Amino acid sequence: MSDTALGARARRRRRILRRRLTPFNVVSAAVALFIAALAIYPLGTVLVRIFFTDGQLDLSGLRRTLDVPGLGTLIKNTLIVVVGSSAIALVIGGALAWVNERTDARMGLLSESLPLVPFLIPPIAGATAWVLLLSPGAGFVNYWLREVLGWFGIEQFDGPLNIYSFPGLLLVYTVYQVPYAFMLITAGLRNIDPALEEASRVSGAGLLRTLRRVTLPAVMPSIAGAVLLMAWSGFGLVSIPLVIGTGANIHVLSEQIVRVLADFPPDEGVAIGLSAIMIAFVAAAWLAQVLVVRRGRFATIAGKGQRATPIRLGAWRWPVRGLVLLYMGVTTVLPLFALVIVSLEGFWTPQIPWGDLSLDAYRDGVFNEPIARKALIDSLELGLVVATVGVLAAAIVSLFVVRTTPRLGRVVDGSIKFPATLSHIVLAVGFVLALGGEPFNLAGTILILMLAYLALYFPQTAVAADGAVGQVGRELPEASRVAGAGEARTFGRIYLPLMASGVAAGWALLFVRCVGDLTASSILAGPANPVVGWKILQVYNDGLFSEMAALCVLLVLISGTVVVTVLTFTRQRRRMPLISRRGAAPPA
Amino acid sequence: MSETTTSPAKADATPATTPIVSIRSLEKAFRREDGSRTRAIDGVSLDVLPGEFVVLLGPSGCGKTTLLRSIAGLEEPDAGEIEIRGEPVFASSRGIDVAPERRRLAMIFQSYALWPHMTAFQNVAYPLQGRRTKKKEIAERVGAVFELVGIPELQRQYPGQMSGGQQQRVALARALVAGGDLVLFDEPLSNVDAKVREQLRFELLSMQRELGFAAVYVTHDQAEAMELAHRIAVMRAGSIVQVAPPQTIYTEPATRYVASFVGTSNELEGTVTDVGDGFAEVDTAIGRVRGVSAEGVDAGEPAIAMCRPERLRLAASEPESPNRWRGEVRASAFLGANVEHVVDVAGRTFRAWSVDTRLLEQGTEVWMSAEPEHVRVLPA
Repeated sequence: MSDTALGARARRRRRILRRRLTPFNVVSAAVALFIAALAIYPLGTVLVRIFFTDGQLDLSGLRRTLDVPGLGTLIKNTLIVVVGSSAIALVIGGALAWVNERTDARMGLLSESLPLVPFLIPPIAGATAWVLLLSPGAGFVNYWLREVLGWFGIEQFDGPLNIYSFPGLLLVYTVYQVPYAFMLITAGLRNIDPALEEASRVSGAGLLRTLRRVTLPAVMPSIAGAVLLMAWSGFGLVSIPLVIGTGANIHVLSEQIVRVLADFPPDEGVAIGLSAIMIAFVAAAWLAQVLVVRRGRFATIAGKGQRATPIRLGAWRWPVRGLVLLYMGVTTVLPLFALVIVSLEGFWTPQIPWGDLSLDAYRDGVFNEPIARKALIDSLELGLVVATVGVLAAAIVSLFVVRTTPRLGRVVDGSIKFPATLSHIVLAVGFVLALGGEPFNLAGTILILMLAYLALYFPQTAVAADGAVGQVGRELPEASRVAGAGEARTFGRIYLPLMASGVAAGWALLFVRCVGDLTASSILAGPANPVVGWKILQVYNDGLFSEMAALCVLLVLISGTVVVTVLTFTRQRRRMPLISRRGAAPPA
Repeated sequence: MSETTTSPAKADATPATTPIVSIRSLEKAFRREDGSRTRAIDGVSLDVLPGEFVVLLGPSGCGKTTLLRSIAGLEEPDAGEIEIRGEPVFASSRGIDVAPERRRLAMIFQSYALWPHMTAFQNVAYPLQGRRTKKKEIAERVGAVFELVGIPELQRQYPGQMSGGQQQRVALARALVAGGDLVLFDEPLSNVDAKVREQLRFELLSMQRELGFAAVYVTHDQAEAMELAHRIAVMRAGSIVQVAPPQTIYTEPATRYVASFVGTSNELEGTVTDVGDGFAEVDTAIGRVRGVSAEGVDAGEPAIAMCRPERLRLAASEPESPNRWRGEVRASAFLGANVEHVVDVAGRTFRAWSVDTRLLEQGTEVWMSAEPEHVRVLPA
């Protein structure tokens, strides 16, 4: 073979490489690799440390875990709280979703968005708010109830309700589980063809029979998804058991993990052992979900289609609406009310001194208190940085996944999304083990929090970005390529502007999660790197309720402002149709 | 690249005009969800000459869109070669696969693929902006092409504010603005209503003949193909069955598939008894039929005798044609340009179109005949 032929062959090979190895693809692959490593490395560390310490088979941690006094009760409590709250949330969330999607009791945007509000009240704020409402002595609701009971001659000094109990714990867990059930079942109901239900009604089946025989089976995949999400978030919730479980002397796994790591000296072996138990539970929930989804025909998410003609509830319409409004009032208005009032009272009392309210708690407890101020600033910075970095990374990775070969795409997608779905609290433990000590020594830094937040909340952002990429469709970027634009220009001029609203929503979600986080922060934050969630817990433990409430109110205000701003912005931009919905035909 | 690979022998074989698109033995398979593989393109070869309008015609799923997308570089074939303007843009054996943006062609998508966040002007200016064209020149050329497609007043509108036909015109403007010599069309008229479609088809035709770009046009609509094409490539299951001008496709279909896909046809199965002088005789259920023999027809083999409805004649008295049968009118229907008579001959029904607009009573006895040169005998 002649030299020129060899040269030509080399040139050709370089040409293929150039097409595959574009700068864009290289950057995407690097980002995907980094994000995947961020979750896999800490998680892997935990998994390895269950069995090995310093390369030696070492089961002493597991053995000490099994010797933890009351381990059985711990597991039993965890299961009661998670399974119980998920079951109740499924009923409430499902009912809300059905009323909102299928009946004339729906109230437009109000009933569509209000069930999601608890997402805006970070669990640490919500948990403390419920203490302010239902604490047996000074709880507002208890105080009001006692007043009412007094009219009937029944005098009590505390109660009748008690937040520090199983029902109390279940209540607050449920409030935080309902949004998951509501969201997923709403999506499920939107994706099934209303004609299925109409056909059943026309065939003579009543409302309830249609619900049981047609609607429920059709949304089964959504219900399974909701159960998985709730199990996952329920096992990982830290703030609620830390605040309420402690007072009730009801301990659960997640709280115990935080506790053994916070004790001095921290017992990593037991933390890892407890994490192993947690992983087993979440994996079981995940397996169950996979089985349910595989058994039935999975309804593809079409996102369009006709809305069903609402079922007329007749005389029941207003009672149903009343129930919906009551639920929303109790779960959002009441806690916010308690937080605001206590933050203005200066100290916590159920007899509201209306003439004596002041902003002192904000001044003394937050702005003039160095650690609280630093915590607030740190959290804001973390939120801004992580949200921005995370959303950009998610957009790039999502694009990479749809544009690369299907098989590689699935691998990348899975390795990015799967690890964090195992359990947030376990991932946080992994960060302590993997990055806290040698060789990284990141313990007590803002950086470790930043990386942990990114790893924890990236999957949710990635889902939002996937949606945005999916909305752009296939032909719009193709038209750009054919029109002579390369990958970079296509990304900048076509993908980015079209994805803007989806990306903005993902940003807001990520920001709220970071600002209100206590899962990673309860383990990774401290006086050297304080964040709001951690500080709230500290102030709560110190019994400074007014200062705590002030911090919570600020947290809710920040989250709410950001989300409302972003949503308004994206709604305005959507006045032009995002996609011409015509020809999304598969290749003929 | 081509200096080192083009041998003298190959240079001699090159025709006087180099095809603008030249496809050789292209293969592309898709993996289905269930793991099985479908051949979307199965050994396709095709040349498109400069200024030529070639229509890829076939039912959905025949691979015509995949073929078009392969030319554009949006789909990567498994094997074969594609040259554009004599330059290889895809060659599996040599590992060449040129990115779509460097193939210098334009394409109109089925959904139009207008970018919803840009005005019509911005959409149309887009192909020019990558080429370092001056702002003023861009504005001039965009203005001119908007005049050309007949919507100068819509430049500031967003696609979402336009009708389907208007969006179609913007898409056309975007494809033409760079003045390229090759435009690909992916069923561009399938989303507009019938009236607009006819108008756009007519305009597209005159524009293509005037500007002289080569067009590769995918459609499943045979009327569209007939009107637009210099040549039609009829596709089936990933292969091209016949490439020929519309008249040839209609009057001399190569196979029964082409005959039935393009136009209406009366078909009779039978066995070939005699072949000679370009004619063949077939034994059928209604007797012996004589017709022009297509390629691949041999004596003793099964074959199809095919005749277009407008070539079947009806008469009250016995005609002289060698192909004549007695039949009975089952129904007559007025179709506008002609009348369709449904005729029963020995239990088989035939459709005959006549420009004579008189209807015939059901049950009328008639003689039906067809001249042998209007009957085609096709391999079964």
